[in-house]
Amino acid sequence: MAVAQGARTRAALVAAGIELFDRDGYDGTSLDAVCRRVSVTKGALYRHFPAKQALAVAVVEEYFRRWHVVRAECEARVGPLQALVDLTHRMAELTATDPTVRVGVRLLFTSELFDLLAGLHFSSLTTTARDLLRQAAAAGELNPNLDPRREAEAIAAAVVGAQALTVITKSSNHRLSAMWHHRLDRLVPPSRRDLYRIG
Amino acid sequence: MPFTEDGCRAAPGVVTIHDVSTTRDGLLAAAAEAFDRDGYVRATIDDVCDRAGVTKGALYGHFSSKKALALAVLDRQAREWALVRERLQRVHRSPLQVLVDLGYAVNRDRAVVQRLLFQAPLCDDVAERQVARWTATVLDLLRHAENRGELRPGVDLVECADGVVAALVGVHLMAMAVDGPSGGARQVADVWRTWLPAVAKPAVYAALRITPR
Repeated sequence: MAVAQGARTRAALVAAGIELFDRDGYDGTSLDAVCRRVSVTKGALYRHFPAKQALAVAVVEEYFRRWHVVRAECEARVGPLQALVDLTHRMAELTATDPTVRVGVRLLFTSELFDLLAGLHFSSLTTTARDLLRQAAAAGELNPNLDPRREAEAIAAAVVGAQALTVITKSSNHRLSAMWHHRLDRLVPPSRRDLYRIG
Repeated sequence: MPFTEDGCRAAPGVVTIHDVSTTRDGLLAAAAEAFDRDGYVRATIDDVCDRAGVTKGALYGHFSSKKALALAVLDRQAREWALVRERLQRVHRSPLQVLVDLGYAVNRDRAVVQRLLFQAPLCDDVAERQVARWTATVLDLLRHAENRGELRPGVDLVECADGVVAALVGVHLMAMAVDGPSGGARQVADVWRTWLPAVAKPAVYAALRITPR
């Protein structure tokens, strides 16, 4: 009972964090304001998050979780290379439309969390892309002689850049569509090129 | 002892243009170091004064706030990149080669700008404008290349410029997080290898040097 109550409070605090970081930014958000939003005491908040940074880390973890969920959704529907294309598009889209993703990207890229977590996130993004490319290679989808690690790094960089520009310019255009258009020309043989959908 | 612009010794106590510009330059260099090391939020005016060896009063004579100082650091870097572009345009005939080399130059000097530009709260005010400038520069070079007949027909230049800038920003952010300030040249090369064959005519692409000089 007490455990369930604690988990509910924690979830409410994270939700309030997302809302306030989104509205006021990391530096403009105070833990007092978060407490008021959820109607809990500062003592109750401190039991879950000893500092603002800890709350922000929890928000970014929600964003990380979104990557895993969307990846699973994409992989359930299509083959590995198409899943990678869909995953990057979906996350770029969510960066513009979904508060959790938008705030996660914003915190991760523009606050002090960058030094703490961005390296980890970029590595895991590259690993995800590399895994899916290796699966695609194993399934005979890719041109031979490609270096999946290097291709994965370039794809991850394009996704990171598109997300950064989406939160900075507050507009998402189709930065990834053209990237995928050119990249698929490199990755897959011409005979299979029409099998893939972009965007 | 202060010197005037023409190297003559100025009378003691007379502030010359030279003093003003060297103090300002010293402050900008010190600020760039402080922002690079501590980030925008943590960097302090006191630390910048210590590094530059000037009083707080002297700093405020040049810059009204930490934000004004940060904007001046960004502007100085933008002017330096504009000069690099002009120099490259005198050296290379192909606008695409200018673009390639400019990408490497920006990658080399990016540390302080990337930290400042993408750090809240400053990024809310300046990043959009800076990104628009980069995109305009890339687009301008692509248009020059198109006018010289270097591009494949039917290339969407605006989409290409947006995509190239996004890819370069991504490379810089990742290099900053993973490799530290010196990384990224190989990844910049990958950006060119992805985009240039798609936009340049094959013979033009074959004549380009894609790796840094």
